[in-house]
Parts: sequence; C-alpha cells; structure tokens
Amino acid sequence: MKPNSLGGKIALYTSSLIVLISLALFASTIYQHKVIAHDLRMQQLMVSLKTLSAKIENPLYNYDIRQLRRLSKQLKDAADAQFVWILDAKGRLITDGTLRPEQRNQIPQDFFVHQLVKKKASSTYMDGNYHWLGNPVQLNQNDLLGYVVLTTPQQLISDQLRNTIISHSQVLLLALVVGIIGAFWLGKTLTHRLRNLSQVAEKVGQGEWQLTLNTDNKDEIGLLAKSLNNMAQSLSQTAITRDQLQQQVEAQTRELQWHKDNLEILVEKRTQELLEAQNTVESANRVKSEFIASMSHELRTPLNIILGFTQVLELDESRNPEEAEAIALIHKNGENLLALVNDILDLSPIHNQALKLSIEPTNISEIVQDCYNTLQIMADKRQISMSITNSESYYIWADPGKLKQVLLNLLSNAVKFNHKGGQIQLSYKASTDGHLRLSVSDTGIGIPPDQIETLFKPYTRPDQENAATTGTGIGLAISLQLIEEMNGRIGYHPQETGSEFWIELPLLHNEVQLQDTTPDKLF
Amino acid sequence: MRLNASCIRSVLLICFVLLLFVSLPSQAQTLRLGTITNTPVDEIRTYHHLANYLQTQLASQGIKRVEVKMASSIEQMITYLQQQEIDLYIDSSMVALLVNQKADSQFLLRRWKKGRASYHSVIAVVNGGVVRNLSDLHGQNIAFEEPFSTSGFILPYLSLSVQGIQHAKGQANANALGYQFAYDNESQITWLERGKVQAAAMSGKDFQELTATALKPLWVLHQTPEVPYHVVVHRSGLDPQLINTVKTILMQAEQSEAGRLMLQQFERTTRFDEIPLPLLNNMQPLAQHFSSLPL
Repeated sequence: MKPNSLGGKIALYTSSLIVLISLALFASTIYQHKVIAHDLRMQQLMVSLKTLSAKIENPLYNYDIRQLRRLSKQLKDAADAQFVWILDAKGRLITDGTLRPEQRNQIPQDFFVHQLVKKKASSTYMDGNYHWLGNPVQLNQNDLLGYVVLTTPQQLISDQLRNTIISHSQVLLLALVVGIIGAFWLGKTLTHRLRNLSQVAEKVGQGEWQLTLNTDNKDEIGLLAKSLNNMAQSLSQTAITRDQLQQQVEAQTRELQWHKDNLEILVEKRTQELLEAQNTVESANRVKSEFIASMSHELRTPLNIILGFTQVLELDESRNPEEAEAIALIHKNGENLLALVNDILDLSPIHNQALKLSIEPTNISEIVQDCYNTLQIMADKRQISMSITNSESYYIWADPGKLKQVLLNLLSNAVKFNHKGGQIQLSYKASTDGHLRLSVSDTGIGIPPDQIETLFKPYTRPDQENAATTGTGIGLAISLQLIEEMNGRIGYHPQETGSEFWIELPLLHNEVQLQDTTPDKLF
Repeated sequence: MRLNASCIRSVLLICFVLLLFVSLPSQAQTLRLGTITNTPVDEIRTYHHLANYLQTQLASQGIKRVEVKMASSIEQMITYLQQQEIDLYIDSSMVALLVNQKADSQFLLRRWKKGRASYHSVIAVVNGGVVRNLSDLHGQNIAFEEPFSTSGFILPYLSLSVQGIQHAKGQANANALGYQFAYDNESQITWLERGKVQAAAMSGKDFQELTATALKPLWVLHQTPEVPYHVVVHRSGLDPQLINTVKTILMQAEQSEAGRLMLQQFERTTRFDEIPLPLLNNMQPLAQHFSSLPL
C-alpha cells in the first residue's frame, strides 16, 4: 500500500487518530487515577474504619478478644493495610489481628496515636511512609471504649499507580497495535476494492462492458460497484443499440444515396419532360391564340359586312314588318356574335400582349354618367330603375375606355340578372387608402355562395337558371384583367337581395398632380 | 410333621455359620476413627491422612477401609463407642479419661500432638489482688477457656475440685467460684487484667506467653498435675489382634518415610508412644471428680 494512495492515507490518518485518542485517554486516566486514587483510597479506608468501629463496640466492651482479633484481621486483609489496631480508651493495644501481639497492652509509640488519643476524633495523617487513619469508638458522648487505627503504606498507592500505568500501557499498546493493524487493514481493503473498481471502470471504458463486480457489500463502495455494473450494462445495451442504429443509418444512407443518384437522373428526366411539355403547351397555346385571333379577325370582317348591310336594309322602310323584323333579328344576333368574338379576342393572350392601356387622370363622374346613359335604355326596357347616388368629381388613374368597358359590363350584368321592376344603384366614394371605390349594386338574383370563388374565372356563369341570358361568361374575367392592369382591384360583395360589385382605382390627390399630368382634360 | 432334635441342631448350626459368614467380614473390613469437634469438616480433613495411612498398613489384616466419623459432644462419642460405631478415638487425655469411664473404652497410646507429650494448667490471678490463696476463690469469678478444653477447663476444674473448690456456672456466690467461658486465651487474660474476673485458667504454656505482655503483674495461684497431652483410645470389644496391630503401626510410624509424612500432616504429631505410668497416676484422682463436671 503506497503512502499517497487512498488506503495509505486512510491508514495513516486513522492510525494517527487512534494514537492521539489513546494517548489522550491514557494521560487522562493516569492523571485522574493519580489525583483521585489518594483521596478515594483515604475515603474508602475511613469508611471501612468507621464500619469497623461500629462492629467492635460490643466486643470491645466485653473484651471479646477473639472477635476483635477476627474483625481486625478481616479489615487488614480487606483494606490491604499494614496494621489495624484496636486500642482501649487509653490507647493501649488490645489486638492487632494477630495472636498474642508483642505490643499487647502497650500504647504504640507513634505520633499519630498520641494525637488521636489527645484529640479523641477521627483523623488522618501521612508521614514519610504511611497513611494513618484513626477513629474513636464511642460508648456515649462522654466515654470512649477505645480507638481503631489503620495504617497503609504510601507505597501501596504508588504501586497501584505503577501497576495501573503498566496495565493501562499494555492495554494501550495492544489497542494501538490492533487499531493500527485494523487501520492498515481497512485502508488495504478499501484500496483493494477501489482498485478493483478502477480496473473494471478502465476496462469498461475500453469497451469490455460484460464485466461485473461483486456487489455483496452494502456500503458505498458496494453501491458504487452496483452503479458501475448498471453503467456497464447500460453501455453494453447502448452499444448494441448504437451498432444497430449505425447499421440502419448506413443502410438508409446507402438507400438514400441510391435514391439521390436516381433522383437526379429522374429530375433531369422529368425536367426535360416538363420542358418538352411546356414547349408543347406554349406551342399549342400560341397556335390556339393565333387560331383564335385569326378566326376572330376572319369572323369580324364578314360580320361587320353583314351588320353593315343589315343597317342598310333597315333603312329601307318599304319592307314589310315580317322582313323588317327578320332583318332586325339578323342585326341583333350579328351584333351579339360580334360582341362575342370581340370578347374572345380580348381574352386571348395575343390580344392581351397587344393590349396597350392608356392610364391617365380620369373624371369618374363623367365615366359613370356616360355608362348610365348607355344602359338607361336597356334598363328602361326591362323596367329596371337605375340611379347614381353621387355627383362629386373625382379624378382617378385609369384608362377611360377600358374603365367604361368594365363598368358597362357590370351594369349590363346588373340589368341582365335583375328582375322586372328591380333597381340598380351606382355610387362611388373615396377610401382612406387613396383609392376611389366604385360600386354597382342591384336587387337581382344574386350569386350563389358556392360560385363566388369562380366568379372571376373565364367561361363561368353563375346563374344557370338564366342560361338563356346572352353572354359568353368571360366578361368578369376580362374586367378583372383590365382593372388589375390599371393597378386597381375588383370584387364582389354579397347582399341580402341581389349583388354588389365594386372597383377600387388609385385617386389623384391634388390639383398639382392633376396639372402635371393631364392639363388639357382639366381645363 | 415333627422335627427331631438333631434336625433342629443342624438348622441352627447352618444359621449360625451363615450369620458368622455374613457378619465377620463387615467388622473386619472397616475401621472407624473418631474425635469430638464442632468443626467436623476441618477435623475430617486432618484425620484423612491418618486414615489413609492406617488403611494402607492394615490392608493385610483384612481392613479394607478406614473411615473418619466425628461426634459433636462427649455424650455422642460415648454412644458411638458403646455402639461400636467408632473403633479408635483420639482426644485430649482428660476428655478421653471421662469417655473411657462412661463408654468402657481403653487408653491405647499417647499422641505427641504438635510435639507436646504432656501438659498442665494454671490458675492465674493478679498479683496483689483479692485472691491470694485457693480459699479466696470462693465468691470470685474465674474465666475458663471453653467446655471441651482439657487445659482450659476440664483439668483446672477437676484440679480445683480436688482442692475442694466448689464451682458455680455464671456468677459466683459466697460458697462457690463462679465461672464463665471466654473462648480465647487472650480474652481470659484480658478479663483478668481488666478486673472482669479474678482468676483465669489455662495451660501453663499459654500463661507463660501471655503474662509477658500482661497489663498487670500476674502470678500462678495453682498448678494442676501433669497429664498426657493427647491420647488414642480403642473401644471395648475391638479385636485384640487388631488393637495390637494398630498400636504397632502407630508406634512405628515415625520410623518410616510414609509414617513421618503422615505424622507431620496429622497436626505435626511427633510420635505415638505408651502413656507413662506417672501420668496415668496423676489422672486418677482427677477422674474421681468427673461427676462434678457440667458436661
């Protein structure tokens, strides 16, 4: 066991502690013995002497020497005394515990005895060699039967002290030897156990997780060993899991790598296919647009000729009513057909690309009034009242023609999808975000809620019940495109009765702006 | 059926032979030693050495066993001897003489106990005291040692009786000497010194030792005749051959190593010998006053 090891330190500290405690106890014991032994001894002897005094009262009175001798010897032996003298009232020796003592009937020539007989009271005395104790034996308050004197050698206490030191030293030495051996044993045991723990921990650290430690001991080291076993077991299980996970990760990584490699190829392939499809679609769309444009152009020319001739024919008042009606019908359907062609043409991408808006400051009241006038006849025919609630002049940024086209589309829808005797209201007002909100509300059939989302998509007509109503179903889609081209917004707001379509377009905020932009139209 | 005389004699003869056959071995096989004591265990231990020695020596005589049996009083010892429960009795000479008179036992040998062959007792008084002669003892008190002590009681008591002194147990009266037992020589002499009694009786040897430390001067008022110290007594009816054999064995004990060891262990006995005739003669006058002994 090395001194710097834990076991060495434990052994060293414990041994030092044992030595210190043992020496302290030893010193304390010896000191107490030395201090107390004398007083205690004297007290014990005095008690014994007084007890003897009480016992010998009657034998002394009767001069029962045999009994006195027995009691004297008894105390001498019990107290390990040098002498136990029983004296008569004048201090003469009655007996000293032996048969026929030489000093029988003589007063012992000792200082203490003379003092005792003189004082007639219990007393103690210590000369160079002996401790003296004496006690009178009273007959009554005035008369004495005799005295009891005890002497014990001082050497006895010294011997006792020496014997005590020797015996205590032996016990101390034995305790020290046992204690130190025990301390070293303890240190060695702890070191051994800790070294085992360390070795196992090191092996566990190196991956030998199947090692197990003896955990029979229930102390802290035993608990540590148990914890180490648990840790090794956990590590073992974790390692197994880790290996399994690593294998799974590696397999999935390989699979991912395979998919990655194939995905790039697949993406390239799909991209190529998409590009091809896009080209195909663009080509088809371009062909379609060209076809629509071509067809529309080719249709509009003969239609304009037809309409021209029908107008000429209508001017001829000689026609009978049936012919006039037929010509009017041709003229009307021709116009419808022309409007349809124009709408289709407007929606076509080629046309859109060619669409050039002229956005300029526009007086909304003029536009509104103009549109109102245009649809007034149509509304009157259907007995639908139409009103404008505003007369203020606001200038907005818009293409006046296209705005009128959109507004007419909304108003015509309001007329077409209204009831006889219904109402149409045109209104506008400036909003707080710098736009003018223009709304067209009617008391017509309204839009079913499930069709509101597709309201502004081409070729959708919300009211199937009025399928007979003329229209291509692309008017709102064209309106949406035109308004957005003018940096505005268009929307629908359902009413309890009928519908409300609104348009928001940017307002001009002051006259300077107006002057800088369109001075001719303002002045 | 009638039995004739010869037939009856034959039956009786067979019974006698059987009885003799049964009884003889038991008497011949065991020898019992005894003494008077109040401490039987101590005495049995003391007599054990002598018993073993005799058992060894008497084995060839048909004695298979030697036992020790104690009596607690003179009367009990007398009874044991009369009933043959004790064969050999060892005691001081005056007690043995008293027992002999009543149990019909006989002196066999003198025992030199602790080296002493004989002794006498003295009546001690304070020099210059109230007692100046034997007649002064009447009306006074004397301290004897103990009831079974030859030197401390029996011998002085009988000797005073021979001198015409009357005794009274307890307190004295005008015609008698009052006596009490002190049970200790030192107590006796202390009582005398300190006036509790006016006389004390003890062996001459004890008196000489004690008077050296006396509180007051003492002197011997009366000295008894010299008597043997210790004696051996055999019971009446004991086989004479066995008696002689035992006597020879004991007297020759000091001549052998085993015998000397036994004697030493038996209270430092010096030897056993014949009781001198003068000593026996000294005892005879005393024996005539045994009837006055309060035993």
